[in-house]
Amino acid sequence: MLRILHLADVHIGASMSAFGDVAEARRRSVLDAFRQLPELASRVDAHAVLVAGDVFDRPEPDPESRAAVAETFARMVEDGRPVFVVPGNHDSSTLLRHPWAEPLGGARVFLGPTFERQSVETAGGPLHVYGLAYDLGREDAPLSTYARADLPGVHVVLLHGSVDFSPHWKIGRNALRLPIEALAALDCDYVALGDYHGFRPPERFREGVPACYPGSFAAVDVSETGPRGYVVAELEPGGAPRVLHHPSAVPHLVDVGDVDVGGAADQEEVMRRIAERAAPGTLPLVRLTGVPDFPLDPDVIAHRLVERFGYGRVIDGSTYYANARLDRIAEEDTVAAHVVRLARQRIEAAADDDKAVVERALRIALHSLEVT
Amino acid sequence: MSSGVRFLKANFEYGCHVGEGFELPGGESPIVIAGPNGSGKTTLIEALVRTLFGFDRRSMGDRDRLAARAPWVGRRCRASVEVRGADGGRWRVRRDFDDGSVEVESLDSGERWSGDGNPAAGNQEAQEYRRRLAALFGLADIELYESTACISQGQLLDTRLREELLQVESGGYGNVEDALARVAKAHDALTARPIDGEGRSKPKPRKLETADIEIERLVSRIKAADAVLNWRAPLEQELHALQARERELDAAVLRLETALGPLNGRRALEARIEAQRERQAAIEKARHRLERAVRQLRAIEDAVAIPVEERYPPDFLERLGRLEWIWNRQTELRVARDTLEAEPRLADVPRPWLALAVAAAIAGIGGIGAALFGSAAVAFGGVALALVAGTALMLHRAGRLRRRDETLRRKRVVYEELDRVAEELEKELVGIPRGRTLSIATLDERRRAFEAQRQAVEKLGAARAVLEEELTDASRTLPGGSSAEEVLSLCAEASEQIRTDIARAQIEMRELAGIDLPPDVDPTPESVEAALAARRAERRRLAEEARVAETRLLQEGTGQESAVALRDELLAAEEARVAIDREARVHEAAHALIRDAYAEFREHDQDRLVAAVSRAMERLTGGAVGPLEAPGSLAEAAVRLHGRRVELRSPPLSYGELHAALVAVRLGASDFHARSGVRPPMIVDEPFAYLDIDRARELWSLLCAAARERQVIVVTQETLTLDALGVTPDIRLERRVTRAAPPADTSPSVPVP
Repeated sequence: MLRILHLADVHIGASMSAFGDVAEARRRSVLDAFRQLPELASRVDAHAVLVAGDVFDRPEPDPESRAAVAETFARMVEDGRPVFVVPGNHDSSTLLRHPWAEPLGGARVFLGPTFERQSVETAGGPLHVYGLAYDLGREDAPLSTYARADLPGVHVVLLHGSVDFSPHWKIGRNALRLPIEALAALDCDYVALGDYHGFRPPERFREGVPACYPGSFAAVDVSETGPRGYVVAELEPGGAPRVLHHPSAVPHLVDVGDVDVGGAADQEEVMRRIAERAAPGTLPLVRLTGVPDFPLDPDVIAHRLVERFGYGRVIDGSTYYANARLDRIAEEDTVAAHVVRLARQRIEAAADDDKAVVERALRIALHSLEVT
Repeated sequence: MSSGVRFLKANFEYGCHVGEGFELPGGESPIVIAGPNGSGKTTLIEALVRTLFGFDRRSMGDRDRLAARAPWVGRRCRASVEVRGADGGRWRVRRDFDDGSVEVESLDSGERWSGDGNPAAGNQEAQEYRRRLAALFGLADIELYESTACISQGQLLDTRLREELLQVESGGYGNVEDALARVAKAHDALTARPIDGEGRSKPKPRKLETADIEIERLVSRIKAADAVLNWRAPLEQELHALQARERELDAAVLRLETALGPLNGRRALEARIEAQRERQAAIEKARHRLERAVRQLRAIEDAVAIPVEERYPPDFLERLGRLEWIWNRQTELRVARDTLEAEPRLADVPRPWLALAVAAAIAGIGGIGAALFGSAAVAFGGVALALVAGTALMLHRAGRLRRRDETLRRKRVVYEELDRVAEELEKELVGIPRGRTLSIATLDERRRAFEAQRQAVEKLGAARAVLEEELTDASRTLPGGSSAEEVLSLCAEASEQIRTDIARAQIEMRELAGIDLPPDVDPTPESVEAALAARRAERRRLAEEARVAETRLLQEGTGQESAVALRDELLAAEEARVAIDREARVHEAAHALIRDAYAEFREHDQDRLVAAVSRAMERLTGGAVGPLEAPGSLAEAAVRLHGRRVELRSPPLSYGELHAALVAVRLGASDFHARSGVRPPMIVDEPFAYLDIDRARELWSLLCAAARERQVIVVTQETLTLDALGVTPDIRLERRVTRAAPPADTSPSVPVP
């Protein structure tokens, strides 16, 4: 039985702009987690490591990132775990400058537009990896170039491409499209895929297609909730792959869901309600609902989440303008009262999309008027 | 603790207060500064206010007052006031009255600003100072301050309910202005567009504009990256077309090269057959010619089969020539012989005596004659004649003798010659058939015979030569034979072998049939070679074009950025932009909310001011005066007095009522102001003048109430009233009797409570 560590879409150097102020920390966290790959590979006793594209988010990574990747690959190779890499569409080798132009830590990088085979003898037996670097300009039907060698051992196809359910299927001409029928036609023991950022084990492919997407190594935007990492696949010649997903060390996003702020006395209580749902070490995504009794400031909540969890994204769906306290304020002869009354009128008159704008404007106006 | 702006400390080189420092206590009670006339109470208050607001040097009154406030000891006129500002921070304002400069220093952060503090100046520094002062103190105009919260000594009676009070109030709603400023500041950080949708955008891009720029840049970069793909597409198509054509040509070249072998083989076979046929033809020709030569030779040999004894020697004609000569010589010799033979014999030669006889006869005749004639001469003549005759006869005989000898010699020569000629003749006749019969007479016949024989021999020789030549030629064609028979045998063998070889080659040619060739190529090696050359040339040209296309594809069709990565970045940037824009819209909405709400609110300002004044009047006069009524403008405001509506002046109000009403106006305005976030200190100089103790107490209560919301500084000389009210002055000033030199230190001359 041959055990491989399969990962993809690390996107080292991605802007992580969705993470706002903690984007840089997030980038650092991803790079640090990637550096732990040799230990992870050792822990799972992997015989080889397959990287299915988009190691880098940019075709010209910064020198530190490139050096870190090279060192990580080199350590795994030195440990006797050959590393196989195909470029992705983010770090495509078809670009004028790309990170694969020079050797990278002893990794075996497939740069040809058609399938090439690299065979190694591992502790788990012979391994034959077939990979290519998709280049439309040089080969528009690269899958047709696959030919399984008549050799004993495990035969693995390594590709960075989009099966028809993945987002890149219809985007960009430099994305390799992988019709499921074409994958099914590949006579191999495992198809190690990259590009799609969700984990998709072989069981979720059409029956008989031993393919697997490990998903992104770490969430690169807030839509990628849940554990992210890599898979360990146990392969035997002619047998169905057994795949197990492992989360990376990068904190993952957790969709906490709706948190009703109704009845909460203050921001602290709202924080407590959120904390009850978000485990330490995760990055919570929260949607606030209900009618707060105080001028809830989602920015404050987000800031507190950042302080507590390292990151926090708050979608404010609460309806502060409807609370009883504002009813009392509205009865006063103050500017604030006029603000409340006017805001309520405008919220009532606003289109649905604008209601939230006026709602938040009301909070800001009252906050600016120091109405607490 | 009262909120609002507070004076905290002051140090003066101002008027009578030279080198004096004051610390104003906190708390929620009015700060009372008491002292007799001439103690510098008003100067102190003025110093506090003027430190902030300065003097308008264009105003003669201000100039005169400033001149009067020059320190008595001749120092520069300057002051320092510490203030708790509207923002809650501690600030120190230092003013040099001589040059009008000010320094504003944050005692919390150390931030320091200095510049022109002239209230009337229009320069940027003065404007900046006024902005800072408004933010710090709530007001930047001393007139507005002195018309409301700052009630200078003797100014109370000048109090009027004027529209300016509302304007003051408008500026005084610091919390609204602050709120608007805060929202505007937050909005300003988000976008350069005007917050109210009016006016021009700010030139410097903010987050939204930066996001727009970034999005535009990303779109541009994506376009560039996509454009590369777009550029790449035709290049790819071109390259694909070239590569497809190259493949076609490769296939065609392979097809032609494949065909060329068999074609060359066929051509070789054809050449071989042709060569064999040519060789066979040559052999056949040689054989035929050889056979013909042999036949001819044999025919000639048969035709000229002459017995040996009949064969003329080849030099027969030469011999005939010599024989003719011989025969002629023989004839000549025989004639000469015969002639010689016919000559007289030796006996016929006269004898010598005859001569003598003749001579003697002559001599005798002569002697006779001499004797006859008797002369000797005749005798001598006769003798001479006889001698001559005898000599002649002797000579004649000698001549005859010589001739006879000659003839004999010649005869002998002729015979010898005849013998020699006869020998030669014999010799010449050797080998000549029937030589004995050869003669002049048979000469022609024999010559013809010889000619016939010679011609036959020549023919035979020619035939042999022809045969020899044919043999030589045949030997060249087919070496190995030395005789015609051998050569002919070899020819037969070779011809048979060639026929076999041709048959074999023809069989091989049949086996090479069915060569696959493009339709435009003839099945000949030349045509195939030409087609190959053409296709190879086109292949080389295409390879060069493909190389150029690949280079272009690399240089022009290879981007430097990943469109996918950029698109992800664009999505994130657009999301961020939407968030920023939404936040900007939120702040615009918030700003509009505050602005519009405030405008609504302000529509009732006059009512509020009137109500505030009315409440103050109510509290101050116990309902005797008031309420204030202003259905129209404030200038037309009137008060209710004992059920009547009377103007706010005396009469109809008594002096005390008017005083209380005006204080009420000030306090009402103060209350009105107290709605704002910025509440400048209320300064009241001599508030108790002309008030009885009850009204003074009421007023004090009002002042105490005001002091809970703002700093209230009361300056009075009414120590008795203070005593009656149970109020202990916080700062007590003594009457200044002399212009003494100030103390060296800046500690307060009056102990701070």
